[in-house]
Amino acid sequence: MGVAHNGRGALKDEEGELCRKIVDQSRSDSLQGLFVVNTAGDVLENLLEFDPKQTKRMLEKALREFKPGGARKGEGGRRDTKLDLPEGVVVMDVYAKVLGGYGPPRSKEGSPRYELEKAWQNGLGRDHLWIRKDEAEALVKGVLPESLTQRIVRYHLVDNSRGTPLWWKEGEVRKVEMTLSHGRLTGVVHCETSGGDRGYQADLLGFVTAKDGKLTRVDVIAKGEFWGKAIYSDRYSIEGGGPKGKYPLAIAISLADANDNLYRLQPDVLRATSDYLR
Amino acid sequence: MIIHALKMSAFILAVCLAAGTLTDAEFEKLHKEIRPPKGELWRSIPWKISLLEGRDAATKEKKPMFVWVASGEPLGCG
Repeated sequence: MGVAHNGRGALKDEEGELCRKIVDQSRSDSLQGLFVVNTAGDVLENLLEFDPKQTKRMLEKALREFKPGGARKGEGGRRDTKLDLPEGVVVMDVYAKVLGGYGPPRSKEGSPRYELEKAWQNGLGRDHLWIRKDEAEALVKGVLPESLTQRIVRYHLVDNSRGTPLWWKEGEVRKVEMTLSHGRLTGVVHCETSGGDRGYQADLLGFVTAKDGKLTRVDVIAKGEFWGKAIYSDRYSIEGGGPKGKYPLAIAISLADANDNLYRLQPDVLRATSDYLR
Repeated sequence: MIIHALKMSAFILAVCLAAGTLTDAEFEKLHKEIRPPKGELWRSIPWKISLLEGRDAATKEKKPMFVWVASGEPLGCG
């Protein structure tokens, strides 16, 4: 049984309690990592690194030694719904990719570390973007709501391909021009911190179509130059660190598949702000 | 006449710059490039997004839970 999890330790309900119980037993004092947990919430195994061989060994050991029992049925009570997918919200997939700027991998070619380094450099940042029901209705009519424009820019035009992204504050959005005309979205964006140590300047192009009052296509690409660091964004590219200086970053936004079992997973930033859908 | 043509060119250039310079060809290329490959192995796991849902399923199947948590988005690199 696999559980992909994000930011639920802050929930004020039974889910949050179970999260905090796991954190209390974690080797890192956080919920980050890989865990094998029994149904009573006892941590049987815990890995901090995502090494495939160690993960396989951990899972095999857990399955070998696991004894069912200690099951605790949910006690119900009031659910904290702040991370739930709201009624009528349209979910978008958001992918970010660094298109260049890394130096060559520094590890020995053919070594597992070399493969890992290459994987980090070529990896995709992934997230979900939520479009409110009224915003989706506006898009169907060919109108791009300002609230959606701001949400896209502030929370989704970031480099989340490694580490933990820092989102743009209101004052860091220096310029936004986005226009939707006859189903074609065009735009330019400039975000930059007050000290200039982090920024993104990009052009946007996208296509929006609708049929019978429903969105049938929303595809947007942003491409431009990103610079600066986020939390741990250097640590994860192994020997070489993150890209140096300004580097090309592209972001793709598309309608998500409602049949995906991770469709309801909330946007990453939702754990850090209550203003996301405003 | 020349001045008028120059003014028009400048106007068209300004409109192009304001609207962004991504071409349709670049869009198509990036749209294909920036998405995960089909059939990623980790996506074949029937992930739950709630520990309680996972716990209920684990109880039913008499198996432990495997929990994967990243400080960022579990969909991505974290």
